[in-house]
Amino acid sequence: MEFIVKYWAYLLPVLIIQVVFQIIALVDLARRPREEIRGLSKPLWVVIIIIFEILGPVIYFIFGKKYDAGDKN
Amino acid sequence: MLAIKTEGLSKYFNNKKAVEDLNLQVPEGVIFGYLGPNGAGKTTTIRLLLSLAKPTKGRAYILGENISKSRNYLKKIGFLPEVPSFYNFFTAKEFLNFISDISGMVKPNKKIEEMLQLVELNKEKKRIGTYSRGMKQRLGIAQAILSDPPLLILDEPTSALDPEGRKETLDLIASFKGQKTVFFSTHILGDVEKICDMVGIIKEGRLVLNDSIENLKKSHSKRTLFIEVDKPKKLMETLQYLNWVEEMSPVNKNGIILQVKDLQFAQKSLPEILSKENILLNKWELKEPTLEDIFLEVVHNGN
Amino acid sequence: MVTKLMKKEWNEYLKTGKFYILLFVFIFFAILSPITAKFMPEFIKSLSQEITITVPPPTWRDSFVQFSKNLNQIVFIVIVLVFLGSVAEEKNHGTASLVAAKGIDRRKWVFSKFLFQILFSLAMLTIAFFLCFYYAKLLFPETQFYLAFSSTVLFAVYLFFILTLTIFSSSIGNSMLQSAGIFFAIFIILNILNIIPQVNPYNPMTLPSIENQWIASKVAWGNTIKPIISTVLLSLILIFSGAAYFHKQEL
Repeated sequence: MEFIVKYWAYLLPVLIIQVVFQIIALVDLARRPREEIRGLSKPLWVVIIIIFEILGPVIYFIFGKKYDAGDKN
Repeated sequence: MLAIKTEGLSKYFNNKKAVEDLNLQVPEGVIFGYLGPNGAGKTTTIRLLLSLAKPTKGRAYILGENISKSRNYLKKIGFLPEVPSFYNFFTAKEFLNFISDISGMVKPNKKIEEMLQLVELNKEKKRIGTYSRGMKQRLGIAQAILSDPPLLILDEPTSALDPEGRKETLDLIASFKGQKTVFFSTHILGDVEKICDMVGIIKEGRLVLNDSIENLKKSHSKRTLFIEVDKPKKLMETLQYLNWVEEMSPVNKNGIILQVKDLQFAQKSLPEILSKENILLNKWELKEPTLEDIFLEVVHNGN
Repeated sequence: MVTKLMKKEWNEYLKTGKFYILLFVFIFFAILSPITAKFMPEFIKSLSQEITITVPPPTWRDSFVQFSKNLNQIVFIVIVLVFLGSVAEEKNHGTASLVAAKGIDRRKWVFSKFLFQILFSLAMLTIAFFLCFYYAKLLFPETQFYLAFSSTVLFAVYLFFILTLTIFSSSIGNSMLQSAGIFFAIFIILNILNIIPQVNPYNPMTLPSIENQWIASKVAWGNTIKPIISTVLLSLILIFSGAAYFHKQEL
């Protein structure tokens, strides 16, 4: 805790980048019709995007959406 | 010149002959229906014509170019796959923009608007991924004709559509008559009957017929008459000795179906006989063979 | 034609979120690397106050050790996952046959995808490098530019190879899964071959370890010419043979 208080100015940008990316993913998820979401339900994707930190949105954008290229997805 | 000509075109998959010794001839400017049951080799033929598959044997020429020499001929073709796939992240307009880009069109915006209007997707702002099957089919037609190619190759353009959509699509294809060559595959006889000038029938990978509808009707015309008289027995007795009558069978109570050698001769002779024998004529009908009769005959007899 | 096809790739990356994936992953790990280098020893110490652990004080070199490690692990995986489907998934979905039937030169199509991927990745790497360098300089004022930059350039050569292997796998496989199989099979074989001393100087897989040697001591371009040349040659073979294969393939 003491550590975070001491260096918050350096850690903040890292956190901001991660949160901005998570917000972009969440907005994409919210705007996408349910039938275009792959694998999991929307609430589960919200959990994944949040708990996996920077990798959450990466996983969502790579695996979470149907129909990006064609029909058989 | 022929728009499409193939010489002994064949495609084997392992030991299955998908297309065997195909000799297609499609003249320029006609609407050509490529008819056959599912799995007869229609899509394989189209894939060969588009260089999406390599022929095992034989050659094909499209608009005079040997298709194995160069793929430039593809720029003159508009192609609609049976199940069209698009980049689903695009809207219809963005997709047509991309197609116009790669087709080398200059100032395509007006044309794109026209096309969107034609297929009634001009108000559609959503991504293609959300489209219904019918909307995708319409977009597929738009992308095929966007750059105004002289030859259209359409794979089962009507199969996924409801009756209304089918009619619209057929009307659209028919409207190209004389301007473009249209080669389309179908398993629906009615489609061919409605709009085609020529027909090719493929059965188990082999072309069993390649002719104009007009010729077909002429050569397969059976010259059949249906008449109804008050004394059918008496008439049949008279007719059975005449050499221009090929076949004769009674129908219902007073009807007779007649097959004659020469229709015009029969049309002149029959009234004479009727008046001489004092028979009353109640009904007279010329029976034209339907395309269905002809097709069934061709397919069953293998020409 | 190549620029028109690249424009479509650019639109695709924006609209499908692939753009954000690469952008955010690159800058996130660029900034994180020097920070981890600086604070991790102190952080470990702060966790265990009872036992005294002797952790050597961090140096500026550790920033780039971390940067290199992140690029070679997590960024590597993300890049491969994002790019691996570029040709294969279009084959799988049928958009490839639609584009091919328009008379597009399929080889140009593959090149345009590759060119887009390499330019995009290099742009991201450049941004990441300068961010990482800026942070390293803040935390370790004695940070040296030449060494940091040189090691990143060496990674760029390695990245070039990885991208050609990706597009090669994608051109040959008919789905993302097949392409992944091809990619990792070749990747693993090359890593196994790296054990053999005679092959070592010509193997692209040796580049990351050279990069680490540079960071630990000093830049030595002279000794690295052999692997660089063979890496570039191998890359060209991969991209040309991938494009040639796709050109002839049935779609």
